[in-house]
Amino acid sequence: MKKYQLFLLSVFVSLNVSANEYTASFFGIKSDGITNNTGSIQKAIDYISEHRGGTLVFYVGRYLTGTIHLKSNVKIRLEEGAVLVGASSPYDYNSSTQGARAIIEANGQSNIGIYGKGVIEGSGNTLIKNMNDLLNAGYIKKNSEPGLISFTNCMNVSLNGLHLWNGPYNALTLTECKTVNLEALDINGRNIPSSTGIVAKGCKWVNLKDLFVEVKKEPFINQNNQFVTIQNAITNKGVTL
Amino acid sequence: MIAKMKKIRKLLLPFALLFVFSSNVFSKDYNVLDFGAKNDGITLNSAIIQGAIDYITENGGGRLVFEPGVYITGSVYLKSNVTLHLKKGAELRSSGNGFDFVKDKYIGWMSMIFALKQDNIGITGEGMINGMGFSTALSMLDYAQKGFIIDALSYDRAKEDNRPVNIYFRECNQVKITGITLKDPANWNQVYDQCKDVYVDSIKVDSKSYWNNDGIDIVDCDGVVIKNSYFDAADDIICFKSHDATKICQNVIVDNCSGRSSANGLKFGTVSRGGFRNFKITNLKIFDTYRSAIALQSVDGGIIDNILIDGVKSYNTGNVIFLRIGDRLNKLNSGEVSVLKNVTIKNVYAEVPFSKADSGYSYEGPVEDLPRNISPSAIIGLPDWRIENVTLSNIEIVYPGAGNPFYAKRGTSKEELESIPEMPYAYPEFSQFKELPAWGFYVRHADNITFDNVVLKAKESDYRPAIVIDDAKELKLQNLNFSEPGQKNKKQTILNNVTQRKK
Amino acid sequence: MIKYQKALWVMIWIWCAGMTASAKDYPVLNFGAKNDGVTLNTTIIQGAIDYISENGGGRLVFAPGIYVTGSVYIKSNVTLHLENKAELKGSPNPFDYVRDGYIGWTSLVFSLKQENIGITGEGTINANGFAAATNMVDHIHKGIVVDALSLDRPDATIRPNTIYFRECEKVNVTGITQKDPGSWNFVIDQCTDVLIDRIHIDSKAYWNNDGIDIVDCDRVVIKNSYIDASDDAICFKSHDPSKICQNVVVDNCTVRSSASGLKFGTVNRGGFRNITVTNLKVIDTYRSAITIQSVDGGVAENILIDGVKSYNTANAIYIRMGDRWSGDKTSSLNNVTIKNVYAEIPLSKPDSGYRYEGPVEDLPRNISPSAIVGLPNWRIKDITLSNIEIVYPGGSNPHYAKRGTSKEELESIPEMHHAYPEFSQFKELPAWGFYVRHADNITFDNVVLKVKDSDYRPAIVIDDAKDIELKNINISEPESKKKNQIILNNTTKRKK
Repeated sequence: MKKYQLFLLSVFVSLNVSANEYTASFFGIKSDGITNNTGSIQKAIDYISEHRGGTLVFYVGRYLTGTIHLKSNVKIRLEEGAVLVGASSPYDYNSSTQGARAIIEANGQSNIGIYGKGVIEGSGNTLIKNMNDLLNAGYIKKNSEPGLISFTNCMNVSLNGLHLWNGPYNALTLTECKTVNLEALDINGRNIPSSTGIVAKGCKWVNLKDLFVEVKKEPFINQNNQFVTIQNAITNKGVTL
Repeated sequence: MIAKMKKIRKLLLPFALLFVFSSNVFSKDYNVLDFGAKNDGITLNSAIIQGAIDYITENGGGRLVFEPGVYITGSVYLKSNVTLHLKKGAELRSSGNGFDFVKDKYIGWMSMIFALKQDNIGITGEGMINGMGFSTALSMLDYAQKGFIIDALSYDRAKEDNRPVNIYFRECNQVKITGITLKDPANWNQVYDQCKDVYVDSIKVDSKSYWNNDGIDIVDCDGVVIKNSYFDAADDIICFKSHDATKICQNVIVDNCSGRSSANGLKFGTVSRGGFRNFKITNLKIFDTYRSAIALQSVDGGIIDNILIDGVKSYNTGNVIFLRIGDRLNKLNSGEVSVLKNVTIKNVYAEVPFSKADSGYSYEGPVEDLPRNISPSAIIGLPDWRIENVTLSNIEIVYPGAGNPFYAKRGTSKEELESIPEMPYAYPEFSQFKELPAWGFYVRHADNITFDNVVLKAKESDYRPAIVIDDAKELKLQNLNFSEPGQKNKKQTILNNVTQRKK
Repeated sequence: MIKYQKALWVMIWIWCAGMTASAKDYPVLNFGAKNDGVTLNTTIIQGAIDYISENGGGRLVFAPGIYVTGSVYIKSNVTLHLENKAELKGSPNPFDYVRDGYIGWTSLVFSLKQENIGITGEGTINANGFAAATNMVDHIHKGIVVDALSLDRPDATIRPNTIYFRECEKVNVTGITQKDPGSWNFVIDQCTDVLIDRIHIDSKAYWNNDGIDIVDCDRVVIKNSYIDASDDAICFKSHDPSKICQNVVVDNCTVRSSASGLKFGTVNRGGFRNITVTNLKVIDTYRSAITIQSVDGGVAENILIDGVKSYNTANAIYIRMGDRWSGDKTSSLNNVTIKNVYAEIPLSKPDSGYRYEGPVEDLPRNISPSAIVGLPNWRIKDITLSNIEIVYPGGSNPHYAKRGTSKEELESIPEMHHAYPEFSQFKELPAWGFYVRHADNITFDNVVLKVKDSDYRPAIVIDDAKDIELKNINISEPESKKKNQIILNNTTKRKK
């Protein structure tokens, strides 16, 4: 555990050194709730990642987007009132590899995080309906169900302070990640029959602290993980995860 | 040569009709709204449209139908056996954000609708493709200024490969574009590059929202029909290019098209690396055009061979005919040759205005190459690369005249004629030599040129003669008719270093 | 109050009728304006206004078409008359607008110290604010314009309003549609004798898009209007401590907002007095249907709100005294009557799907109650609530957010003297229906509070109140027959 703390500390220091801040508007990202910003947010992440990393900051507003791929050394900060809104068509979601699809997706990246008092809002039942319509028409095949956040094979991941709302399926999927800190998250999929909380598989060193999870299906799926710690993480019924 | 052309035409037309017919019969229709697209003018539909195209191509092909409404999109790739069918009132509209567009790695350009190495594809219907070019181009300019994209911003605009065109099809076979309106690209409008069997019918182009807004660019294609179409473009409207020195643009029919441009009407070039062969252009109407109604340019070591242009009406056009050989790539000593030969232009009526022909249109052509009086039509080769075998018959051109020697003057003495610069490396335009010594036609370094039944009229008297021909062999002038007020005894034809053809 | 209202109407009708009768008409096309949606007409429209003002006044008439323009100033005795399908459209270029040095704000249409002015007809003023604001963002990032970009947007004063009238007399705005400002929309500041009738506002193109802002005005009538705004819809303000916003009648208006429907404040330096609002309908509104705030050392007094229907609005009534920018002044808030109100509060976000939705904030909290919240030493006084019915969703979850009703818990609720006032500012409050604190002489008369799902909180909590009168209180909550629905702490009831 001590080793682990030291390791975390060094990560924290190194991240702070390169913490250049960029505001969303610099990249032409629109807060009007109707402009689909996928291309611009992705360009911003790529640009920041290519320029020694930093933080992309979203202030109050609704930022509509399809899948964006988070890259190493890039953090996203959602200020209070900022809402990253997931687009409502399954076509708007893709995955860089076999990983689960999501609004924010990362594969094989390190030193990434999302924090602040803002919201990541899925399209919930609307997306589910759109997906079922396309499946019934035979236009799409069964594919992974788009979640809010999905990280695969990432290292040094932190999520802090966020509201993860209205996710149609898994709010947060962690696959074979190492050193994951989840703190002060409010996960809510109240009206969505398939809403699921956190799914962690094959991860090492996962820290859950001060979580509130209200979903219709499993609040926490914990499979083949090592070193999971849970502090004050409860469901809407007051039950510990 | 005419017999040869007829043969091509006979081969080409039934073939084009055949594939158009066959692709219609077996098409299954899919409504894009069923894939979740929104025609609300707000939702970005790129991913949905792409998903629909991919599904259709993998399931036997068919038409992706757009009901009326505005569909916002970024880049999509059309795939084999898929036709986008835009119903009347349906508009495929660019998001206006350059970051929603792909720069294709193989092609090297950005586009709203790409197709790469696909067969049997099309865009049909009476709907519209709107590139929102002004917004899209300005977004890229802004991104370049902030350093998100690398661009030298030459001329204070993002360069062409950083601005999306509406359509870029590359290495595709059996392409059908009919009925649609193509509007406001950020760059060229529609490019068909190394495609085979391209059929364009009854389209309307409104392309003057930003710089380099061409009408249609046919690059190194084989088997092309363009007919019954209307073009209004800030840059060249019907433009044939050859980007690849190993390729050629050939077997092309253009019939019953009309349009205007703040550059050239019908243009071969500027990029002309491989060449152009076997063209038949009929019933062309050009108006309000800043540069030449017809410009054939071979300036990059390629060939222009076997071209028939029959039936042109040109009103209010800054220049009528400009044929040019140049050496932009400086190949004179490399053994390569630019070729321009076997061209027939006949049945042309043209009026050239005194004032700027494209005045009042957006993105007017640039005022340049001053001082000069009204420029003549011209056939200009280089001393060693000569334009050969050009026939001009049944031509009438009405000029404004009024060339004023106090403003600009080029005399017709041997010394003066031979001092006109050759400009082998320059960008070719009818105005490039500034003042030329004739008001009607100027010919230089060209052999076996025939003028037959050519009428040149000047409305006001001009200090220059009607025709100046310098360094030409085997020239044939028959049935020339000049009219210039108050100049009955003026010598209208000046020949320098010219031999006439023996009968 | 009613008597006063009638007198005001009659007076404003008289001068308004006089104004239109003598108007001479000048088509703006005769001055060379182009209605092509492309040509920038700023100087032409200004030239026409100046000519008309200097030549006895009249109407500058806009025939159908789109007239692109930057900032113009209306002058005395000139009315812009926009015919049906005529649109005055803001240029997308922020450099085509003036930030008026005296007023300190940017606007498409200005008027400064003029009299007898108006905008009439059934046409539209479209400020095209998203384009101007977005282009301004780029200029700021490139350093061409200096701005802190607070909240990642240009300052409100450098983005164009649709209309800003300052220190004008006899203002008549009727019939028109106002659309898509870059900042606030329609500001009437220190004006006298203002008539606003039958206007339609669609104001949700960018941040801070208010509907109407009446700032320090005297004698204003607003009626028969529809306002859909992403920020406050009908908003009274007082910017100047030496001024007061007074003698206002609002009748028969319908509003929708991603902030508050009818708002007094936030800026309230001088005060609000003698204001009557009747027949108000509020729909799909993110914050309060009615909010009266005195937080900057001004007064709020003699206010009558009679007849409100509020559907799908997150909060019905929020009355707040605070000490935000008061300096050495004391805020006051007294003599307010709110009656004949029916309101339904939803569980979900009421403005969901509108452009520029209100910000998700002050979490965690369950559904917030209506509230009257003063400060311990600055007390809200003489408030009467009668014939009120509010239907709440209930369903609160104490695991998500909890505020109990013990003396300690109630007294530990922060005072937040200096905070920006909103119904949600205290996060979780201990009642589901009404919360009152630091308020004296408050009357609840025939108040019905209903909750659809049971709530862990009581209906009403009153803490630190003197001379309270509660009569005919009717509370309904499923499966809660023995629940104590009214909690009083440190409160005295009025003697009959």
